[in-house]
Amino acid sequence: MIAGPTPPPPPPDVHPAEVYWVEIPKDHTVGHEQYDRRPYVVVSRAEVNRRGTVIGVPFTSVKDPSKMAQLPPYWISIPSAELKVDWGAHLQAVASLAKTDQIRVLDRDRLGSKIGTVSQSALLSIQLGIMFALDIE
Amino acid sequence: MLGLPTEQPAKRGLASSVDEVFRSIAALMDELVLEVVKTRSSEEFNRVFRDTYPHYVRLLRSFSEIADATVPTQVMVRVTVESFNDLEKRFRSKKAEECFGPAMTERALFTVFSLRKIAPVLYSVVTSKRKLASCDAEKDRDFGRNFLVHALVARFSIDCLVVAMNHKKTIYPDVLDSLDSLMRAVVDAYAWVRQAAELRTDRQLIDRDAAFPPLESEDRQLLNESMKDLALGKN
Repeated sequence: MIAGPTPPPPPPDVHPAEVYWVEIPKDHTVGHEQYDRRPYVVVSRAEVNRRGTVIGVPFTSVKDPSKMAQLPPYWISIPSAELKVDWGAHLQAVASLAKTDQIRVLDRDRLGSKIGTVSQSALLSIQLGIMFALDIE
Repeated sequence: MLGLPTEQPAKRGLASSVDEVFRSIAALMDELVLEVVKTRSSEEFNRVFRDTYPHYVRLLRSFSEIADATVPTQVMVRVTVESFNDLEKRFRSKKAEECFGPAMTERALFTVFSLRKIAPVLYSVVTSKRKLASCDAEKDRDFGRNFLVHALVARFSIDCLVVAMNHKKTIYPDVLDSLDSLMRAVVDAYAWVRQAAELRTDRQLIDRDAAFPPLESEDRQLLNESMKDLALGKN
């Protein structure tokens, strides 16, 4: 047996409900598209994610809770208790909104460090927002 | 229960005596809801809501129990669908936007959409014959309680908007904000009922990929070879 160079280890599996940092440069977007460094929650199935891309929904923080009524109903509110931050992420979970109308295909190379995981309940709520945004009956 | 029409219960397939009972209960519910709709500030809203909501829930439960005892399931399913269609049509109308503004109308449409999504899941839960393990039964009770709390509050706020339209009542901005936050509960209701439904299936929500462990390269090679054999007709 001839020893060759060790192949790089396969990237770890990406699962639905996991939250990663994603950076979308401003010059890769136009108009109202989301850019900048944001947490994205993975909503695609693990089987889909193995093909090199994942589907994610960006989070934004709740800046002014008194203006919630003016925000679209399909921006799903994620209380801080619904996000379990990974040990080592050095972050504190804050109340966020999942902007389901900004759902996006992301190459796995775009995924930065893992922040944590949202609860099953939060993931289901986000799925409901996506169904409404995409008019899935 | 969530799709039961409080507005137009006289639908095809309902016996006239049942229809009459429904109409009476719906009228009583309307009166209660109207009290809440008439409030002018969030403080007043909270006070009246606390007083009337328990009665509303009791009436809705009676409504549901009578429907359960007297209306065939197929008719109930049709009436529910018709009721959601009717609600959606009303909130898509120009009148709704004039009454509540675009943001609240969108919130109402989202709430009706969500209740519509909840209905078949709820139906699958209540008709499921699967026996739950004792640990799941405890979770199930928890899911059920949480679901009811959130779903009924969302349904109540939708009724507030419908009653306001029917009685041509303006809802004060503070009260609209309070209704908006109650309507947000529908998202949680959906999540709770889905989790209750998942207890009755073998599918796991987040760990659904556990059934698809990643293949080692040797396994992959074996699989490829056997697929090739299959394609070539070898045994």
